[in-house]
Amino acid sequence: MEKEPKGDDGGDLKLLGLTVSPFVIRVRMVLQMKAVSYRYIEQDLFIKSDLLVTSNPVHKKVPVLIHGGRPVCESSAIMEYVDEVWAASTTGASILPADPYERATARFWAAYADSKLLPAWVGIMWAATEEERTEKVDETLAAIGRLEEAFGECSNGKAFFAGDSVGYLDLVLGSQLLWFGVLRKMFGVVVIDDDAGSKTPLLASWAKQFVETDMAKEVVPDVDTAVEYLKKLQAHRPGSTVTQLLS
Amino acid sequence: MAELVKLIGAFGSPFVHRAEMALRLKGVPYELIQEDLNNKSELLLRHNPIHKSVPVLLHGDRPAVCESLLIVEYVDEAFPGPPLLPTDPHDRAMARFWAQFIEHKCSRPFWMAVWMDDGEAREGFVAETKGNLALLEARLQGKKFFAGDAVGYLDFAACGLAHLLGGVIEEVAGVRLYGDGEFPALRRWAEDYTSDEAVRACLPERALLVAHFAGKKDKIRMSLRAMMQHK
Repeated sequence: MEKEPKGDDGGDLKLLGLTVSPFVIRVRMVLQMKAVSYRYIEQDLFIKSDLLVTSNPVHKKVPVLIHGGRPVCESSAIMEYVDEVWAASTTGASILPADPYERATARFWAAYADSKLLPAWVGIMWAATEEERTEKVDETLAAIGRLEEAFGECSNGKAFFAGDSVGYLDLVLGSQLLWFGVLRKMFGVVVIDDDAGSKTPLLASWAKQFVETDMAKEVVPDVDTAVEYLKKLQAHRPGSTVTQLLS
Repeated sequence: MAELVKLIGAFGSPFVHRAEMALRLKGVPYELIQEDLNNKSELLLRHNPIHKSVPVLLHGDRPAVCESLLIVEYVDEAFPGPPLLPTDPHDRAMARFWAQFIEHKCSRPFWMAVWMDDGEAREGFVAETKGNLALLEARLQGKKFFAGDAVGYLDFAACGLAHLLGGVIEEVAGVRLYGDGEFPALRRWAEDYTSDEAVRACLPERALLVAHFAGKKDKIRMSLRAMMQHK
């Protein structure tokens, strides 16, 4: 399955990915924001392609960006790479702020979202017992609570963590929203609550704006696609970590 | 007058060492505040409430910068001086990729393999460490340092490995993970790295490191056992 978005010719540019993977979604969003054209190649993570294995021999994971034949791996490294290479692009501002302290803050919370929040909600999906599931739900809600506070500090009353437009941290957290939808639908777990009395009112408002952006609409598949993928994972690989199979 | 830079650190921490190397290579004077990690100060807890760990960088009146590799990038971006990371975007991406690899796939399993009790889990970490060190060994071929002729970002990102490869940890733990013929380039790198002038200014002497880890070894083992049981 291949797609060729129109836009600034990035030269020979390919992205190996999985449409439901948060790590891939965030990279595709950056490319979309920069209006860079690339060839997207969906991967089967159950039977890894030669191209994936040779491009990312160390981890054999997606996403992998191949630019002029040279692979770039790790979603955070890819995002910064794309931001740097297409810095002069008139179609998309930098996803990281100019100020070094603000850059460090965005990277810090992005690392937190990936190292504390993501494994917690993955743990909900793979919990073997009710007790374990409850523990993972608590961890998830604690982490999202921290991010709610961080949003208050970073956004300065604006729509996104980065201000008026989407930035690095918005992309890293926003790419996880698809799976919050899966958690709600399949497990009845609500991570970001948009009801009255919600503990995450700022993030609820942020999430609504995020999913309405052009690149989210263009790149993020619907929740049912992710639900189907999870069912496939559960059938084939009980006990594997979802992060193993989402990248 | 330049703004004061303070670094909250702790003896023997490779993470703190990374931050110190970044500041030194950039030529930024700083005050080092040593923490006792068994008795964390109010200063540390206030500035790093999320992780409660060192290093923490305080630059002037700004709120803290935490996480060692983020501090390195901050120092690179906030201060003038020779660049710490490569300037070419592809080389930067490679450096960031390998720094993460070293952190998560080499240093961490190495640490686990050295300290854990015997068993299947430990065997897994040993295998993972050796497989990944082999990849790193290949990365170093023909070069004195990961960054080239002189010490750079990837070298001090890998400094935890220098402690481990230099045998400090193994001596304390009484465990040897690899034979004399294995990983010659990496072991040579560890020696060259720990002998480098800038490195020595912020790396404790071997004997002191050995004593430091010897004092902590029971605590390290106990906390690993507790962690494994929780899983």
